[in-house]
Amino acid sequence: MKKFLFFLLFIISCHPASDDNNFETTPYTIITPDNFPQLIIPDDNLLTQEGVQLGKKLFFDPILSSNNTISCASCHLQENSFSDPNQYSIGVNGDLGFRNAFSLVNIGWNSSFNWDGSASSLESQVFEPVTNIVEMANNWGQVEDDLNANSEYRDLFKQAFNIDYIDSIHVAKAIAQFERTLISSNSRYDKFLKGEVMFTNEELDGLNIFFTERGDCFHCHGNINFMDNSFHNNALDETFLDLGLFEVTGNELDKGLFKTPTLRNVEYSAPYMHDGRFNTLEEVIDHYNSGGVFSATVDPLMKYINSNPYGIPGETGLMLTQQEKNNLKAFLLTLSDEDFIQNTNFQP
Amino acid sequence: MRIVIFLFFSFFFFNSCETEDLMEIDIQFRQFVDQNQLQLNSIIYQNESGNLYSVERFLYVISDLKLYCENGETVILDNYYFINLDDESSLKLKNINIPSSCVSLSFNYGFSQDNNVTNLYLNDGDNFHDLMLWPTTLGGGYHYMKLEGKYLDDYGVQKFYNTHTGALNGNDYSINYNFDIASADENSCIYVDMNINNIYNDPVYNFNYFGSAIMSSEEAQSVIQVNMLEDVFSVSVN
Repeated sequence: MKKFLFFLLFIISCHPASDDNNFETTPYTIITPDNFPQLIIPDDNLLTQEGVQLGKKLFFDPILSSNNTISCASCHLQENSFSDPNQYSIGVNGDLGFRNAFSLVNIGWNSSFNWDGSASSLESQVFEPVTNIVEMANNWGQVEDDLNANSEYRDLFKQAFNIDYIDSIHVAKAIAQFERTLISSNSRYDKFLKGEVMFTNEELDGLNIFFTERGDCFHCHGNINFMDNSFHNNALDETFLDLGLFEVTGNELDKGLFKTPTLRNVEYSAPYMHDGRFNTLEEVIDHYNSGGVFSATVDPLMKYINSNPYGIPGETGLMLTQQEKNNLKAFLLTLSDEDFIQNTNFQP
Repeated sequence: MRIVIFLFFSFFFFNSCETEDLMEIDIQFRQFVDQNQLQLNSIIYQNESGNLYSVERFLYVISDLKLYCENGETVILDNYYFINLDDESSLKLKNINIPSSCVSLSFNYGFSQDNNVTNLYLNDGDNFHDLMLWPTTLGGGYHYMKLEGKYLDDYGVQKFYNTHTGALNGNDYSINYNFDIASADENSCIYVDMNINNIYNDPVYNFNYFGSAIMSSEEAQSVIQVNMLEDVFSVSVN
């Protein structure tokens, strides 16, 4: 009985304690913007000032690449809403990738990552480009060696995570912390929602096209981050060179499905689609207005591939007028956030 | 020390009291087309209008689910249940505690107006908000149902339909159901079944008439609501 009570007391008295009682970090507080859900932050990687600053340094440092020539920021440029203006990004060996770099704006509200959903957290996403042969072409052992040989990084990791040996897990944690701070919530659209600005008639009409089945953009881009944390085949191709989500799930029904990207800052994040095939918003709107092309896994939301809203024989697509297309574009431009593009907190 | 011992035994005492005499039941949501279990992605179904159609995606909301027990108590379950055929775990509610045998249940298809407010479920799991939001331009709140697939038009051409229902322009198209059931007690499973075909029957619903998109059509929303009043849902107990 005494042994049992001792065990009971031991359990009750135990509580998490750091290895070093002097270890302290400064919490990095993110105030959730109006109309936004809570940011997705894992319990084991809460944001700290030290972690975010370290993550930013790593994000801009080519030390992660095999020949010290490219960093995360090489393919995720702030002026492009942390995406790449090139259709495909150029890796350390001059090789081209095969998908357009995903915009990182408001990435912290995503529940899966990469166009094919191959990463389930921001932390796990960091691992892939470092070792991808057409991106950084490095290996984590080398990355760890290089970082541990650097006294400044040793100090910064000690300050952020209280660790004496830098490992890949904490590199990923730091970068993920920084990426979660890449928040845009001050676009003209945000100000409109708060009643701070009025939309023009063109923008209002564009909003109505966007948020009704006239344009039917909202079913995939309807939340406050203008995406749906889901995957769709948006009728781009009859056959697929890139199988998208299928590469991850192996499910035949997932062939040609790709993650819905955010439309925030879409003005800055050209080119568009998973393969960057469209250079302008006009091309994107024309694609959807056309109805797209049929394939076995095309999303039922692409409902005007073989028809049109008016039942006119032989016509396909949304049948938006030129004015409606212009107005839709005018609305999309209200999602631009100049403050985000110029925010010095996101710069090295 | 005495305090620790007291707390330790109190913990087990009160915990055991809470579960005493409770029974456990399950509730399963099943989907049929007439008498057949739903088979996705095949254009094999036919409504009373003669439309041949398939089902490719099906999501819907059951809210305000209550179980009425023999002892007079009412078990009020979570605010809503989001049934998504892409998520098998959404089809069954397991281990529901009831104080005595249940003899009836009630629920809403969709949300009543009080529970259908834009952003009310902004932080809920299963990606509910993103998948089911109903734009404020159309009245706000959330979809009651997304039923999507293909149909063959009068010329045999495959076309898509999106039967999406919700509170168009703030009108409440949700439906409250009450079902008496054979007594559900320990280890029972209550089946809440849908006959999808009757969403399009009585009165008839013709895809060619209503077209592919109905979110802005009060006529279509009304027809679907009337169709769903009587013979879409049924409940049984195993």
